[in-house]
Amino acid sequence: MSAAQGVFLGAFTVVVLAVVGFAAVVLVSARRIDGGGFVGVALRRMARSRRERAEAARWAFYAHRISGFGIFAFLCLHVVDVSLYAVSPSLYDDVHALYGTAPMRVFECALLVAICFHTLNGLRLLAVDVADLGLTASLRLLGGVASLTVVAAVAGSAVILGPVT
Amino acid sequence: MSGRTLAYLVVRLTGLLLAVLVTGHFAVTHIVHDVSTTDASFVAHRWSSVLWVVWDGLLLACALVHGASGVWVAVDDYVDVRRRRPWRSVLVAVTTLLFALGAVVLVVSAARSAG
Amino acid sequence: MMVLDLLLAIQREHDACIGFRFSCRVAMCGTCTLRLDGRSVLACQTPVPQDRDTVRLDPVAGLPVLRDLVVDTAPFWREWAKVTPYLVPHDGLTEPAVVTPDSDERRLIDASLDCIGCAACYSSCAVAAGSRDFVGPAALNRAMVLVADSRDAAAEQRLAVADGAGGVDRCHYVYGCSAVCPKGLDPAAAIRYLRKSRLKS
Repeated sequence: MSAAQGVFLGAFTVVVLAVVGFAAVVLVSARRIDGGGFVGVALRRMARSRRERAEAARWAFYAHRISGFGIFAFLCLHVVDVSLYAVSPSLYDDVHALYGTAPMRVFECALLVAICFHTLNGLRLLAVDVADLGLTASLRLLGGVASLTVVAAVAGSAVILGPVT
Repeated sequence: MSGRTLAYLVVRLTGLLLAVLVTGHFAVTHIVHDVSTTDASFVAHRWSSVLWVVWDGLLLACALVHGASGVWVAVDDYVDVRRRRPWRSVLVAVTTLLFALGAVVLVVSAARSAG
Repeated sequence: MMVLDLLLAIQREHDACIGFRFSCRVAMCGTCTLRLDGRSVLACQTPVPQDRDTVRLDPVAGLPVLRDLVVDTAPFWREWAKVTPYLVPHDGLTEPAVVTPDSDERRLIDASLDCIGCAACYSSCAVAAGSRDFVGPAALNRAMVLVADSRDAAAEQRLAVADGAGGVDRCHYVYGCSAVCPKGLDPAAAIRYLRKSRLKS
């Protein structure tokens, strides 16, 4: 492993730790202060009446925030590693070789899930404001968002992980 | 129009643009081409086309503005009002630096590819 | 058996010191709000769940706890006051205002008028409980009720609050408020209305 790759992996670890830390902040504050974050109860509620299923919108908010931060944190690293191209193409190639490795491909699948969910949910929130959608309509859309995310994530992951499986 | 209303519109607008820009970017770099083929020669080829230079430039700007706005809002939610300023300053500084870096690299590389 | 009955039974038979608030017992006063298994409800109108052995009762989220299930509601009312929550009539009117029952204005306002100030929405909002500078769904619902009223002259002040640091931009579409309102109000719709209104002004 070259020095540049070592630096990249170090920075990447920092990014992952930052995202995990942020997720912890979101979920701990959820449990402590906002009446949310009770997983077992939430799962039980999803099976019941329409009003109870509103819990899904709360979890969508947590997921939207965590995925958004995750993408942004990775973006900070990504802008720098692509910028290496202007320093020297061989340096860029050296670091970029890591992106093709199996562990990084797994990360790329996680990134894909984050991107799909954040984009689709973001479009859903835009629809809420533009079309003045209430609780029921927005929950129906959320169902669509979740399904599409799963489909896109599975399909995309199959393509990304194909070369190493 | 207040700053906050402007920020609201900017987040939605950049979000809409990013839905297209990011999907395209990820599709090209991971799905259409396998990620292991996105080496320096791939970048050189890509940035010799005006379309991709503009696409990537717009992607850089929108992603940084949209992401920074999101983190700004998260800071507002988790940090007490009296302690927000240092967080906001760091956020703005990092975002500006990254944009400057990315823009310079893009312009320089595009010029090299063209020349 | 309602949760309030349960609390009174606990107080009678197990722990005479347990602290909780209630008043009217008929979901009109907004005093007995608490969280049942994480969900903000009025104790007097919520049946105790029959499908499990234990339930979890918490005080309302986002307000300072005084004792057991009793909270200090002052921060909630402080936010409420920020939106000038009363009608400010126009000066110099010579004729009485006419608002017909079937007008759009009446239909919009009627749906949101019956707020009892129970803070269930505030407690269910993922944001109001956090940094304490979001005015909250109840206050914004109130603001909408008055902004939409043609007799009112203080719309600008209220829209300024809605557009301000603690206003509609702090709402993150969690819908906890509308899902939980014991009177069937829709603060989320009120917030959407205010978002549209500030774009027009």
